[in-house]
Amino acid sequence: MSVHLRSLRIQAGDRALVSQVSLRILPGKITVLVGASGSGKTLSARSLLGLVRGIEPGIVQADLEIQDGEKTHRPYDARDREAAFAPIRGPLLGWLPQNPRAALDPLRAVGLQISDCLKLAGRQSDPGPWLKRVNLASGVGALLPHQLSGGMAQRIGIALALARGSRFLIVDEPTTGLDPSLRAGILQELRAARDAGVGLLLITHDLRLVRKLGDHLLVMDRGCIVEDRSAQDLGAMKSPQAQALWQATARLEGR
Amino acid sequence: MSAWRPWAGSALLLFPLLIWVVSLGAGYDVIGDVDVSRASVGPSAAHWLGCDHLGRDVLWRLVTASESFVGPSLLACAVALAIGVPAGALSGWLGGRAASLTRFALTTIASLPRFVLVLLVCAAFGNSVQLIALAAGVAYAPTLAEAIYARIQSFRHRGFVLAGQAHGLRSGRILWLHLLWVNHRRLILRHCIQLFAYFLLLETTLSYIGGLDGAGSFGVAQPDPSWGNMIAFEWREPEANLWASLAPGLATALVLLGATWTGRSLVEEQA
Amino acid sequence: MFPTLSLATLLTASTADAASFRYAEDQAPGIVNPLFSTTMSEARVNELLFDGLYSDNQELATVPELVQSDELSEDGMSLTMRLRSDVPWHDGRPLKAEDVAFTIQAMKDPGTLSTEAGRVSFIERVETQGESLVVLHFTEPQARPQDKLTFKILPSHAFSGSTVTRSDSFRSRPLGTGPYKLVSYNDDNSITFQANSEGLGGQARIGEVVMREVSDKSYQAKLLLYESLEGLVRVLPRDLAVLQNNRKIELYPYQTNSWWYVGFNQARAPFDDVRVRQAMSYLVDVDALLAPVGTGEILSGPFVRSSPFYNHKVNPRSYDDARAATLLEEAGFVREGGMWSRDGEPLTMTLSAHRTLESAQEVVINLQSQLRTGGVTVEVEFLDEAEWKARIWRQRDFDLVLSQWSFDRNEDIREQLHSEGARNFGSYANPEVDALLDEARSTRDPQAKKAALRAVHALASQDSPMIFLWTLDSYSAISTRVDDVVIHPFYFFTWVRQWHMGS
Repeated sequence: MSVHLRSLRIQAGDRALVSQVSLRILPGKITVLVGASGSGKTLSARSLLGLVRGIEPGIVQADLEIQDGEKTHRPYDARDREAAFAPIRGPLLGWLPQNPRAALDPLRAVGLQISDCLKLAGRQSDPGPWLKRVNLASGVGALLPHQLSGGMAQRIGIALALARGSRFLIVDEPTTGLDPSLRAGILQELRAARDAGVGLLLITHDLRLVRKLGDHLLVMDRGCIVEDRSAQDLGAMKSPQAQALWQATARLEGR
Repeated sequence: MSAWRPWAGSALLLFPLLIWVVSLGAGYDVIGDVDVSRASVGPSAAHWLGCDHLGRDVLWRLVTASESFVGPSLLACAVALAIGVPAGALSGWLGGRAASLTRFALTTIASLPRFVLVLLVCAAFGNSVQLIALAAGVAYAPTLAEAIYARIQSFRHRGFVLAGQAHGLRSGRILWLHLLWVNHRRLILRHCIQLFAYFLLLETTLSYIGGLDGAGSFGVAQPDPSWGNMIAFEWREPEANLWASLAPGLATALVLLGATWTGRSLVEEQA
Repeated sequence: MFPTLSLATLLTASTADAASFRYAEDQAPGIVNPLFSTTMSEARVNELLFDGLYSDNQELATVPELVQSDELSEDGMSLTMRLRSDVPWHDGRPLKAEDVAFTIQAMKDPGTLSTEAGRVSFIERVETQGESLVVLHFTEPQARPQDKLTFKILPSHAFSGSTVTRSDSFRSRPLGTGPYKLVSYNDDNSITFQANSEGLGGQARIGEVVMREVSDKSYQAKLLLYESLEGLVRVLPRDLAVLQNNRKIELYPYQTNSWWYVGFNQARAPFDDVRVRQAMSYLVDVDALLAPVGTGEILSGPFVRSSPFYNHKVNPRSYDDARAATLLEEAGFVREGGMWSRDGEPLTMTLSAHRTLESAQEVVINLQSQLRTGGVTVEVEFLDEAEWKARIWRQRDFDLVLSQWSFDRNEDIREQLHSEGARNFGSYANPEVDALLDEARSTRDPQAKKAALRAVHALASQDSPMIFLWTLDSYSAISTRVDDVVIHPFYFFTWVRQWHMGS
């Protein structure tokens, strides 16, 4: 049971946006992908779901291998990539996008949207327990996305991902724009998911998260992986980019 | 805008539907209704709006006239929806060359004024109200398609669409349920109301013009009632019952007003 | 479609000229040439421009017009006429015997395709003796040939050869002997006529006549009220009340020799069955049908009531649904759910009406309503002139027609009712009627003709080839500024010479 991406290359015209990116997501582990804005983190993550605009062979090349028990999916090797991704999106890989409010249908009550996900997963369509699981009152289910606060929207996003029951979850900048108390709550939810056996890929530019809950760290810069190591030996990071990030984090913490 | 307008508008819009149902249910014989002994009599208990100059009951003609536009205008809406929604939605969703071709075809239709298109169809295939409805539906489809195209294209790459795909929702479900039904049904409803009003005006105008020359060469011809031919039939009569031409005129104006109010409230709620 | 606009244009164009008589036509004459006239507006213009050998006096008796004196041979086979010498053509040239010969030959000439050819078919040949003597030789003995010699005479010097075509330049520069000369065709489709100073009996008293085209009939009355016109040829029934109450306008009733009918296509089932035709006529309440159209006289046969041939012993059918039901049942129809059908086929028919027939809409709707109540479904179609000619006259493709026939004083109904008649598009055929019509044509005895045609009337009423409806009361409306007005029921302007503008 694992997601293994090797030698990902995404091209725009002659320019490579991402090249030579490899990463692994394992059940019950959190892989953290760190990098400055525009370093290609989000693009790499979306390539796991086949959601890079235009996934024709000329633009995205990758060796993606997803093990699901006895079955192995290699969607980028398939002739019809769109069809090959269909069984992966949802049951195997879930995605919690960067701005969770924008990821919600603006005119559909959030409870219904959770029900949609539950139905997709073949579960009971009552959203109540899932709202409760992310510490929201059941009345929230009747609200429309624009009536939610940032933290609520983020929790709904997590609830959706959990409701879908994905084995692996890509979480894009979950704490951006949230105040510290809310951030702690969200991290708590993610930890709970990990403990339930979900494999997470956490995308952030905040190295502190690695220390709090990371198992494995990847640092990206200008479309390449520059650092790939266990979260235990963060101090041994060599690349200048990783060190710059590290220093920036230390400054933030030392305030 | 005052809060009562959407309500009043909807009530005015429901009025033709209501009398349509009444008319279909009652099956009053408006053709065998001539009785010259009561020609041009004014309103009375037996004839609430009086009679026209052939002694036909004006109220029943007014009610039965709904059959000449409600059904056909629903047909026009169905045609416009059947062409406009898929064309707009698919070209907005898929993009590319197929979308350009579709939009080129629709723009070609749209470049002809609608009224001219309808007249051309009448001239080529004969004058029937169903045909006019069909033509009006086709003529309106580009407007609907273009509106939907613009919205779908701007929604196509919104976060929730990608998120839905990531959840494993099929493209069809995202397009039809989330994009069209959840997010744009008001837009579509507004266009349907607009087309309904347009068709009423078109049918009334054509039947009025047709009624003027007495031979009903356009629109709905006597003895079948239409609000347009009712006005044309009476207005030159020197001693006519005023209500015979006033009532259908008022009815047309009120329904059009209702359509305007309802349509505007839908725009404002959306904005 | 833009009544106010046209009204405004007409009003500004109206500077009342006391010496001018302006009258309205729905449609300007298509051609000004008596050999090709088909419409009443053309007939009226011809009356202004041309004279005939004979004409009508105010008692509608035939009197000489261009003829000074005549003599019918004893065997009735020839008529010798001396022409008047005091009537020159509008261009000053004298009227000659050869003009008469030319006119008759042009009408008979197969190349001319004159619509009037039938009027001279009884003339075998024309002989001229000198400048002013004309001898007509007939194909069979004639009692009163003068009655048939009212057609207009054309100047031979304006044509070359005896074949005249519709496109001859004569149509734009017509030349006659009549009381008025054509001065100009104007841009607004009006035509200006000027009194002919050398006309018969001296100059006409009104100096100028103007024909104006006002295609919207309902505005003609308004123009008369606003003094933009001096005369209306025919007033719409709905305008009668307004004009009657106006002191500046006088209404002149006149009887037209025309009647309305609903004709059956007897070549088609079920109208080949006389019982069905009779039943249909019993289902129609003609009084109620006439009420919205105007007033008039209801007829029982193919003549107007004032005609000597009208058979007053035959009464118009009145509404009788019980009789109708009996007749339809005899013809094999059954009534189910209120509607008649035979062998499962419902009694359904299409009624064709001419688009320009005035008030036809009211009649048609009314008729549809009456027959529906009587258990018969009627669909309606309005045909324009071209469709009418093609569908009704040539292809005879119709069930019922609503139309009217107009006749001149001779009231010759042979074409309508004879099995070989050119206008018998309903395919009516009754040998007895054929024989009577033949007799009426050939007899020299006026009483025998009358008796034969009255018998035709009775038979036609019985056979019901059509439902005979009515003759409408017609009125002309003329400004009280015009005095001594007498109107010819058909040609309108026959006695225009005596009209004059008062103070």
